[in-house]
Amino acid sequence: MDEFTPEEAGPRRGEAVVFWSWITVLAVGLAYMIMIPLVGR
Amino acid sequence: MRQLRDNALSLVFGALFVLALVGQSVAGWFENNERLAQHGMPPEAFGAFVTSSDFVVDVAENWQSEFLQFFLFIAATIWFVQRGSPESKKPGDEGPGTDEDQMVGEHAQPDSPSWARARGIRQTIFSNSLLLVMGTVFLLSWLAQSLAGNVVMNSENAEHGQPSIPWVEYIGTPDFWNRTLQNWQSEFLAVGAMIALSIFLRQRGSSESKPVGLPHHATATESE
Repeated sequence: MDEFTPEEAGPRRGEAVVFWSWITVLAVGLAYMIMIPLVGR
Repeated sequence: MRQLRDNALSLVFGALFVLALVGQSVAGWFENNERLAQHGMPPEAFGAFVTSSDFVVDVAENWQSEFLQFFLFIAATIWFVQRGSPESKKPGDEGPGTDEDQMVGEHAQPDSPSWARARGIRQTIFSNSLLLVMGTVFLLSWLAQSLAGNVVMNSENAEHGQPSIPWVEYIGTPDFWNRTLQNWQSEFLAVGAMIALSIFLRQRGSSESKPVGLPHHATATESE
């Protein structure tokens, strides 16, 4: 289990990358799903 | 390797999402082409299908219900409890909690997020940010479902020589509410079942379960 970064080590870039990746997926997905019907496809 | 293990839960669900979405798009494409063939129409290219409202309406109706589920679950667990469920706070802990419990304002820790230390609107926004984002995604995906469903219905109306209907009329149709409520009922059932079944059932090692030996009447989240 020493393969994990301990919480005491503070923030790491990985969790920020995960967070912003999911926000991007949601934003792109929503924009796509709203744009397609608006252009009448 | 360490980066992968630190973030494995998000990565596993991200991969499952991509696989399921690709699977849905392929299955939906085949089904759409079968329907076109039954109407004596030529098949559609895959690229044309995934950029059509036929595909979007099916994706959006599931997105909206999932985000509504989490929105309501997050909101309801502020004010309602279920004795013995690890999904609930302990009875008596209902409400938004004190500033001390929540480590905001003057009770913020040295490593607390800066907006937890801030006062006024910034602290209010940050204190409710999860609910705000989940609620926004729900509303926008529900809007997308209604827009795409309207296009699909008008396309089917045109095939049958029927007139188009405007969006404001579509959101009152049985088609819109059938698509909406068939997803909502399953989400509410699953959340309710999770809350109730986890009172007496356990999954060793899961953060969604109480420890195996914890009594049935105890909740996993205890107050200070």
